[in-house]
Amino acid sequence: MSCVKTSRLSDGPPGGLTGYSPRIMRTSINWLNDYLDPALDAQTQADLLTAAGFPYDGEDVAENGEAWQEIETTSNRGDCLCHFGLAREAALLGGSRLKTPKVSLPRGGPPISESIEIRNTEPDRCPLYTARVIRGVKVGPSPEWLQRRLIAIGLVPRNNLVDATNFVLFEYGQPTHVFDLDTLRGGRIEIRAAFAGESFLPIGEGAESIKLVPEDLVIADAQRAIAMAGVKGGAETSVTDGTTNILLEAATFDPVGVRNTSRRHRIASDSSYRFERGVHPAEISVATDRLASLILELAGGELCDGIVADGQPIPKARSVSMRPARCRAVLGIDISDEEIIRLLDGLGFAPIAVDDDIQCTIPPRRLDISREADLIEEIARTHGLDALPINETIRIRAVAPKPVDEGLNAVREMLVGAGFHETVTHTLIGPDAAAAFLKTGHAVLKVDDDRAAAEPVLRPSLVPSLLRVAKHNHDLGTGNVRLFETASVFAQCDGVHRERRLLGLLVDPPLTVGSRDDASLGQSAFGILRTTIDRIVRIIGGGNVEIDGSVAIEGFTASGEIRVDGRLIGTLGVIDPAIAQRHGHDRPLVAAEIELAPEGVAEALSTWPPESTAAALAAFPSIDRDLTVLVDEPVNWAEIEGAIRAGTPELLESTEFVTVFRGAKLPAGRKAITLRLRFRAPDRTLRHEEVDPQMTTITAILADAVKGETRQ
Amino acid sequence: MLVELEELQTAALAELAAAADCEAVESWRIAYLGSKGRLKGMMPQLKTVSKEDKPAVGKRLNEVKVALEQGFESRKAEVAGSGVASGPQVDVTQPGANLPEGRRHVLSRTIDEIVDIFGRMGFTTAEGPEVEDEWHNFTALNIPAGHPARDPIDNFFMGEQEGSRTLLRTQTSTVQIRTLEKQKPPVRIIACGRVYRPDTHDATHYSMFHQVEGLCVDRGISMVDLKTTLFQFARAYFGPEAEVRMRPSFFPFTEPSAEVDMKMKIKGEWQWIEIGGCGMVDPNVLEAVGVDPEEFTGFAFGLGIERVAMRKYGISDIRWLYENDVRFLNQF
Repeated sequence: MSCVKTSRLSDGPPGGLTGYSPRIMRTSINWLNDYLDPALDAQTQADLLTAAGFPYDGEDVAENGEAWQEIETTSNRGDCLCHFGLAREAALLGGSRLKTPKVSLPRGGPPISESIEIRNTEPDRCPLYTARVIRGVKVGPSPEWLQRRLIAIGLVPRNNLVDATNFVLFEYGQPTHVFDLDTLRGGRIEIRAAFAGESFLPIGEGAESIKLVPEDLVIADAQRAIAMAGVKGGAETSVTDGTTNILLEAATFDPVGVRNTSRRHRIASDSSYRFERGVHPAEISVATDRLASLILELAGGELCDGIVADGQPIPKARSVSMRPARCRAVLGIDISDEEIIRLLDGLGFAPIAVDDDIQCTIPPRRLDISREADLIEEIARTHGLDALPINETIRIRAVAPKPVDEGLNAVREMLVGAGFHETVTHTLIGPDAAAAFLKTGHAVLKVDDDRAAAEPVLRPSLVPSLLRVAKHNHDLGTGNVRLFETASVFAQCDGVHRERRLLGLLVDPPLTVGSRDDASLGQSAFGILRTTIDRIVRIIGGGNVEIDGSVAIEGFTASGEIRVDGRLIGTLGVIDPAIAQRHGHDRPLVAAEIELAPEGVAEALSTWPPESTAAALAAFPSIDRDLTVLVDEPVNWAEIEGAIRAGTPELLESTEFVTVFRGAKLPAGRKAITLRLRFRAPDRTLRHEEVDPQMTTITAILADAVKGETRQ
Repeated sequence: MLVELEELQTAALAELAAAADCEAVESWRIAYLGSKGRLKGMMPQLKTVSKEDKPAVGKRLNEVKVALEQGFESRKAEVAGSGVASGPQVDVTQPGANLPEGRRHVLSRTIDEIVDIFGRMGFTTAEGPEVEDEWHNFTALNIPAGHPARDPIDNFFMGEQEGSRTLLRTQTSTVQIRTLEKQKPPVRIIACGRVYRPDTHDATHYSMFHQVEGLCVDRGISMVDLKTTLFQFARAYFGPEAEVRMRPSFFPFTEPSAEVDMKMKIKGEWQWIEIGGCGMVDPNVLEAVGVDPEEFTGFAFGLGIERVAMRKYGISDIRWLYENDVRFLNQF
């Protein structure tokens, strides 16, 4: 069982800049106190660690009565994935003395070189490999004190040898491994790349043999891989109850290599997790000494003299300097040089003031410290973020709200007033839902992640998501919805990826309408949608809205492009009944998408609000005339209205749609459209005699352009 | 006839005063002032009046008429104001008609509220794409190749685009880079939008969520400015008793880094809530976009919108936010 796990964000949903692999580590209160003088109660430990940047995340009592806490650790502090590391932080902030475990290693055993030799052929991926040998150990259960510690943090005690390695891992944060020396072939340990297809059986109940690849680094004997370096030991060379001679491995591996192997074979361990955060070669000796000492204490045996090691020379300790003035400027506080030096000294950074600098020698465990900024962060952390003052005021430069934000908000508020609910739906959808609304010649974008499973496609349209929301609402009793969402859609065209921001609208047909046939239901819904679009256009800046019904839009049956003064701003239509049905809808739904960026209405929004100038109002009354025109079914409103406008009767002010009638009283394939014509003269009260010739003209235009039979 | 006129006026006004409701007043009008009313009924008598008396009687007739009309108008106004029902019968206790009712989504409303406050603090909105390249999502943000944050397990990667792998952005910090590439300091922006991380969906996890990102880069910006800005935001948004605290943390693109908690009122009680992360912009990030970290310093913060909205409104399951059940949306 692993006692290092992913942060479960117990406080709620994800947020902020988090997500940089914070891990929850379980710590035993008593274990931490093994290194603290005076000991600290649980609350104090939690408070100090939280203040140091290792926030408390919960607590409980293990089955054996040992109290534990969960502490969140950040990915840059591998040195604190252990009790001694956390104790060091608590001691620093709480003023306790840090107690180092006692180690005693007898000398005078037979030389280790008689037992084993090491060849490290991959010093870049394994900067240091070390081994010790102990002969004549007695495998058995661990003593009670050790079992208590392990059970406290959720580990299951196995035997004294395995327990010792686990103890050292969570004491010093150094992964180690124990091999049964007598199972190793050829008296040799090799650190090498795996052979292609080399098989390896990892330790673990029910583990299956895996095939390695040359990118994997292995520990091998003269014949075979005996461990996946830094990830998992092998079953064939692991210790058993009958083991008497053992080899203790302590090493460090390249974090990226360990992670890749771990991911590739889906095998993760507390060791691989630790190595992925980096272990400095200089840190190894303390841990291996502690492990050897502990095993001798627990299992007896004779320690062979010396260590065999192969790798690169241990790097010199890093030297990093900091300007105290820079520290004060970044933090915004007046902290003295003396205080800065005191804090750095407490961290073990051996600070020395040289001219205007403070030079530090960084302990090898602190892989995260390499720059001045890192030292400034340490000052912020140890001085305390609580100690940063809060000012009464801030300096600002006044800025105007962005026109696009204001314009879009005006549109949203109008939509809400018109009965639309705003939705927020996932960007990723299923391939079928996406394909139905994908433009011909475009390709979808897909994420690789298999955890996106059935929904890996970045949606090319908002409509499938709105259809899903409508269905959800219908199923739960809200029969009639109007929905809108502003979000990005994605598609590839000619190999180039395009991200567009859209306003999507979906309208259910009204529930109560005289006639129940799909055409009239669709037309009713369409009426709502069309009025909504006209209002959107008026808010954004006005212009003449035209629907080009000759354009087929994927996913729609009746459909068209929305143009404002000739500029394409979006599309609209009745959703293809077959597609609607796949989404669980049996009534005609209508939808529209208006492009907010980068094209469509982007330009109008960027200069929002539109300029307005007052115009004089018409001073003389108008004359309205209704006209019914009988036309063939395919003739649409835009053609009729366009024909009249093109004929430009001089006194005509507007042409309004009134109603359409279809029925048995009309010839088959014909419909009657009633329109209202408004006439007005700017300079006088119009007389009916003046309008009559205009009506004659219009009648002629309609007869000519759309073969319309007119009745007044 | 003068006497009769006198009697008519007295009787009429007395009767009018007794008319208690609109109906009675209307009947009175018909009786006295109507076309077949008593005043009209006296007209024929005028012909019988002698020539010399006619002007006086005519004048008197007119006076009576005016008096009755005025009396009628004022009495009509009186009874109308007396609360006695008149006019069309409307049941004012009936429920309202079904006017369609829409609602802003609670997340977008929360974003607007937050952006509005930062707007007043001099921050301008900025945007960036949701599909990002590795440079903007990682490299420029001081997350080098091989960093665990680049692990495919924690990211939605896609294919390559112009030689670079692309992915759905994991944080709005990408907008910091996008902005600083285009605009030299001083910069003070707020960016909000969707970010993505492959999480299995449950009550507290969703693979998409929203962040508000703030960035301020100028000469002499310090961590005290950061704390002050967040504090002033908290007071403006959560109320005059709101507080801010910071805990040391780690993010690749800020140093020092901190987690931010804000004390907000939940069900009448002030509680500390983890709200996001913040820090001083890492010098490596400034250098990546050609800003001299010796001349300019800056701070950045990222707030989790879902977290704010869920705590503020007691939403216990994050998935409710994306189901868009209108009964849910109507609650806010």
